[in-house]
Amino acid sequence: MSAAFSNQPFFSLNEVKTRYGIKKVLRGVTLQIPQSQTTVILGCSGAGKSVLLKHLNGLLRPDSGSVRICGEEITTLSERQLVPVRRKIGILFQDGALFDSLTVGENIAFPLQERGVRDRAQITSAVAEVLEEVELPGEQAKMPSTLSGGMRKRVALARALVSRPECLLCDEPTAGLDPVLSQTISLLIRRMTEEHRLTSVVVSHDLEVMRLIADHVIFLLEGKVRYAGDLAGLEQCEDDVIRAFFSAKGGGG
Amino acid sequence: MTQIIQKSGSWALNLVALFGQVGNLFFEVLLTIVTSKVRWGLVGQQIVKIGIGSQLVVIVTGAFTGAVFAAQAYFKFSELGLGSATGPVVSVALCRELGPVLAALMVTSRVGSAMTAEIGTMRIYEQVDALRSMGVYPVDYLVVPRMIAMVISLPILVGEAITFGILAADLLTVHGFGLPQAWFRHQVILATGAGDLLTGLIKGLVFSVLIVLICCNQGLKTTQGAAGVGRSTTKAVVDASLAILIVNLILTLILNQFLPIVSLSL
Repeated sequence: MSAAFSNQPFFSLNEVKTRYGIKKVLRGVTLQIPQSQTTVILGCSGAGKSVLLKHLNGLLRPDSGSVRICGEEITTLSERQLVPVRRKIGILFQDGALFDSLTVGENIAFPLQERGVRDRAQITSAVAEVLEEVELPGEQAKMPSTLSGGMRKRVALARALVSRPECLLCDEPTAGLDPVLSQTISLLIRRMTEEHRLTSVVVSHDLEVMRLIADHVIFLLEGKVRYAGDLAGLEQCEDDVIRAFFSAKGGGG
Repeated sequence: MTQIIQKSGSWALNLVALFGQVGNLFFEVLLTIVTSKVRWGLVGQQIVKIGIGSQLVVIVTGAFTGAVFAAQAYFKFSELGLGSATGPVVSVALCRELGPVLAALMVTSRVGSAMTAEIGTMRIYEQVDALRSMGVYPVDYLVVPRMIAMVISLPILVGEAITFGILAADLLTVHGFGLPQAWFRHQVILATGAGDLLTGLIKGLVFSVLIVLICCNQGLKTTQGAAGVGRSTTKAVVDASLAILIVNLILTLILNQFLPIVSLSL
């Protein structure tokens, strides 16, 4: 999984601060996320991981600070100006966020139709291909409400990847899944990232996920970056808080 | 005393915020209609939900309101020897006030609440964020089709409420109370001008915009899970119903300047 760090980071955040009411969620996050690698954002519940992830494609805006995608500042862009930026990025939401009124096939076809693809044969073939990739062939006609948790995640992953984005963001991709399914989804994300040479950012508090897919790890604590670096460095880190996190998660180290 | 001032201040601030949000959403909708592609497929689906789905409730409301109003008017007017005024009074009241207001209130309860609940649930389950992340502007996808469908459907529903109200009044007063049918119809036609009908339709148009803006705005800012969806839905229905009643008074005062009631000659 290790790959050479590109010079130009895909995401670059500088002193990002966000608060909800009186609660400071991000307290000056400065970090860089390298291209064509998988970065895992690790941290306890409430550390601000999911909030940070949503800043990466402009779904949330910081109160102050800068967020750059491939060098382009996005915090000053309007919602409409963000459209082309967001189309570079696929996102897998925690609960899948599938549209309940659409079938699996229609959900996956949605991003293509929104990009103006009108050729039905092309859409059908793209949907079938991506469903094969996530190991759910022939499930186009099912409704999301009939799917299990793991299947929903895979369909959501297929929807995130069908338009062949440059980057994949995953918010707690294994939350609510049993260990076997959790490993399957993690390996699937890793395979997709490698096959499509994606820049992936995965938010998780699951150490197994991190070990399976991470090239680069960011440890977030109370809205600030406590550690950023490679996996080996994190596991050998002497920081008391990080050691405590590993012990509590049964990660040893 | 401090609490009363605090609550009044908070209420006033919320009201100003609501005006701001609804005004902003209205501007966004207009901008989308002018500059972006309209999703006519979704407009069609919404017309089915709003227009066709509301037929029964609006027709029943119009018919029973017309009949009840006719009965009460006839009881009072016949004491004064003015039973023949029943038709014109019912007709003008239905066209100008009862038809548009009751149809709008029924559509708010039936469709407005569903709009808030649906959009609110989509927001809670990150489906609105999913739309945004795929480069789809939520106003384009969720609000504009509902707005166009409502603007087409509600004036038609208002027309139906008026028509069935007058027909029910006709049935009751002619067959129930024995008023001569020709006389009833003659008086209704004589007293009801195009201005009365136009007033009802204009109100229907304005109410349709209000319902969609208030209900969709409330759905889009829903937070805090299933309980939040419930709160948003209740608030949307209450706000939209109050807005309809308040704006109705303002419209009545304004429209009466341009489209006055024709004089009754009984």
